[in-house]
Amino acid sequence: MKNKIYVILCLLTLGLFVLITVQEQTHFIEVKPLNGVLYEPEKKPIAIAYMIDGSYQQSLETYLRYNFGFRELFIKSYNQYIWDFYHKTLNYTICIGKDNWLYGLDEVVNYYQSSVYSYTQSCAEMQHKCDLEAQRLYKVQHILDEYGNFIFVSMLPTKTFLYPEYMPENPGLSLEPFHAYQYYPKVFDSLGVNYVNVQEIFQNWKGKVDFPLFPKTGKHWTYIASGYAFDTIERYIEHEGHMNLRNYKMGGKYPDETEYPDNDLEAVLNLWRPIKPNQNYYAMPVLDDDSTAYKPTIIVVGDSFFWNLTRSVPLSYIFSNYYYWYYNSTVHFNPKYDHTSDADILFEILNAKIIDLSYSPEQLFVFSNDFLPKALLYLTHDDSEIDSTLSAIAATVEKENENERMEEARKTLFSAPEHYFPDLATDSVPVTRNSRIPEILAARSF
Amino acid sequence: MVFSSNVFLLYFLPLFLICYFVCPKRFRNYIILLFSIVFYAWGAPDFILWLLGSTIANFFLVKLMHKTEKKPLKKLYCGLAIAVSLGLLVYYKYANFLIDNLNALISVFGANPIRLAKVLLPIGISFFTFQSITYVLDTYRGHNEPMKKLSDYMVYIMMFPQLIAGPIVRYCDIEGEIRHREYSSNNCLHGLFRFVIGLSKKVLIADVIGAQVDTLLATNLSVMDTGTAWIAIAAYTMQLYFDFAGYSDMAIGLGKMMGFHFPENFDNPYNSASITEFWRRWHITLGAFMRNYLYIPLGGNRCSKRRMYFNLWVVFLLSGLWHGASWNFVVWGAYHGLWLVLERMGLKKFYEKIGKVPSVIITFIIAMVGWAIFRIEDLGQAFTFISRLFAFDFSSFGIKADAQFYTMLIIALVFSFITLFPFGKKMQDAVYYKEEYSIAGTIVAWVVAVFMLLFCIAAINAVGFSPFIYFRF
Repeated sequence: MKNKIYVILCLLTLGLFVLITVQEQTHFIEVKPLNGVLYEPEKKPIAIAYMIDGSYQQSLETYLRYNFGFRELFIKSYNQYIWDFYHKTLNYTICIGKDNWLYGLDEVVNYYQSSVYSYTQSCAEMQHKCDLEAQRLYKVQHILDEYGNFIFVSMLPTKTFLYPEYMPENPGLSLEPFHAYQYYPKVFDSLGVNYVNVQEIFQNWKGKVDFPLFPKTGKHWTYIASGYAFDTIERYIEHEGHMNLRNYKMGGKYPDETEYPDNDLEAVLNLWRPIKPNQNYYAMPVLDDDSTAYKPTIIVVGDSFFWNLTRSVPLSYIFSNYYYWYYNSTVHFNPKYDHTSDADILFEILNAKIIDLSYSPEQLFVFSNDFLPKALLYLTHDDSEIDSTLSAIAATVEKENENERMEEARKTLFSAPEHYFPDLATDSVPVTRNSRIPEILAARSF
Repeated sequence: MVFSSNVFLLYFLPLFLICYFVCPKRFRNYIILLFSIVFYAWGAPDFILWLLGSTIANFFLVKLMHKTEKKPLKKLYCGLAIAVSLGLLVYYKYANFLIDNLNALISVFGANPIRLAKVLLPIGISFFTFQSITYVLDTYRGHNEPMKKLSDYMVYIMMFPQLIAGPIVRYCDIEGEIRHREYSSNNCLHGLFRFVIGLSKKVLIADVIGAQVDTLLATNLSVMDTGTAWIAIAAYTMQLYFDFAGYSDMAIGLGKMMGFHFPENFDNPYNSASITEFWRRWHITLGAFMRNYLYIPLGGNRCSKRRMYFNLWVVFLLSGLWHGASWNFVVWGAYHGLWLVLERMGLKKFYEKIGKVPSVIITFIIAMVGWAIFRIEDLGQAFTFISRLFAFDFSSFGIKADAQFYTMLIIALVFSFITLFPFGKKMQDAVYYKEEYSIAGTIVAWVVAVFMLLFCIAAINAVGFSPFIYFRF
């Protein structure tokens, strides 16, 4: 009897491992995947050469690490243990603040020291970069103004500066700070550049509104706060852009924890039990039926804060088209193309009545993501000039593949066109224009 | 391959156990051999042929040595067999060190440096070399007959549980079990329990503590405050013990599953009341090797006091060098040798006078200071760190409040000293050495073991992979 039980226990142990392997191979039980960006390592094919240099062994270990059977359950269980017993997370991109408020590591770094050192060697270098970018914006704004287009900057809020009372302690950051979100308004003011400081608006709202501006366990503004914020932005556009847009008001708020959970930071902790959120509210926008109002096209170039607007604001009611150029890289809500590199930037910006450069403080260090230098270049120089310069740069790139050479050349030219077109380097607005502009203006609808 | 890797835990071990127990008993040694070759080749494919070659050469040299009646020829074969093993060890482990030091020396005279391509250290070479030396010398001394079958000898040298980090098993200890061993499901379960204890020590304690140790010792040691320095070295003391003892537990557990009884390698070393006792409790099989094959042949205790002190020093210098081809290991060996000599000269009497607990505390502190030399390869940095231990500067405590680190450090300290008390000893005997539990006890132990095993797999994959410290020796 005793021996039989022992044999059964031994077999059960082996069976457990067989089960894990079978799950790894077949996924016969459906398991909810982990949240976040998941790394999918490649398993090298079995080959003597790979085995001798050890790369096969390494690839199998890495592959198993990310693919063994029921991995999701194992990882979530361990994360929950770490959270419950030690109140910490293995996800180093998330910082735990007071009362379980969560913050992104980039935000915490930017709060205590500023993220400047992730992009430049020194504060002076970043300041120069900001000056240059503001100059470009000033020039683009002036040129677009000639054609009746309105470009402006939405300086978005950030959780850290708005709710510092819940911030985790300084992890030891002490380098000289440089805050782009404080510097840009000064430069914009001195140049007369259009911008709306939503961070400042949120600071004024804090404590006066009866809904949270940021969720406890999420990174971005709450849906309801973003709805109210865009209402203010819209009024700014109407006032500064001299246009009458269709308006909306945020309706009565209602509590809901499930509709669109504002918990993107918590989600990537991959825990079993949810963290108790702060009371979140939602509101349905109420539309103003104004048939005389104008429905323009808008291009929004910016970071991920815009995603919340797509749910909280009736964008299709206000705009005839809204195109989202996410970090000036991927294109959303435009069926014509998926990537900005495929877009005819001159055509697109002249056909968009409004261009909104929408950046949160952490992303202002990469403000415009090379949208402004490229726009400035195409507005002021002919395509043939630009193409010949690109070819000349590509010829100097040491890469075998033609496409890679051109790609490198584009990166080089579009990030610093002033190096190749000295007229762009002066303080004044360039006088030359792309010869395609009249043709585009003639064909556009406003 | 490493015991705490996914490939080992999820593929290799289950597959091995299935093949091993499905196979008829007479083929099981071949299964061990086959899997051991794969196990070693997995981590060191470049060196597997050398390992196989030297093992085969040793087998036949020992056979020849045993056959011959002529003493000089016997000696020659014995010397050749040892030279084969030691030659590989010296080349792979010490070539870089010797050349670097030789170059430093000849550069004083303006000579051109000798160039040698960097030699990579094959894992486990120090362990299987010593194991083969025990076989050669024990056979030479007539303690045992040479093995008849080459495959049995290869199983003895290459058996994967103890191949790369010990315990160093003397042939006479498992001679019988290589030919014939008892299999039982009880043994298998107890082996599993021991394996899981070892894995938990490594993954849940040593690795958690080690992450903080690495961070602390990577900072500027010259300004480290005294409190931080003591916590750092206490943490490393625990990390090293739980890492290495964990590996030994896993090896012993795996051996037990297969029907072998490997010797214990640790016996609560931090409970020692002197450094002499410490070395009877820490890495026991290395201590036994050094005693049997170096200290006693040098004359051991049966000589003048001065000679005995010299013998002790030499043994510990070489023991230090065995741990690594670097001056800090030599100094560490000399440091321990010094304490052993001092204890023989009268310090031991002082310990007896002050009683067990103060002696244990003093010995623990001496061992910790020694681990600083062991851990910090740059000797200048090591002495800077030691000076900070006694600087009494408590101005800037540098360890952030990491509850997991402190919890594991406290658990490690408690388990390191618990056997000083009778209930702790009782508990340890029940968990480690009791050969058979009641049915209910076995079921409970199995549930706990399986839970811990799965939990360790979760930890390995959630946190990241970390190899064993003793693999580099």
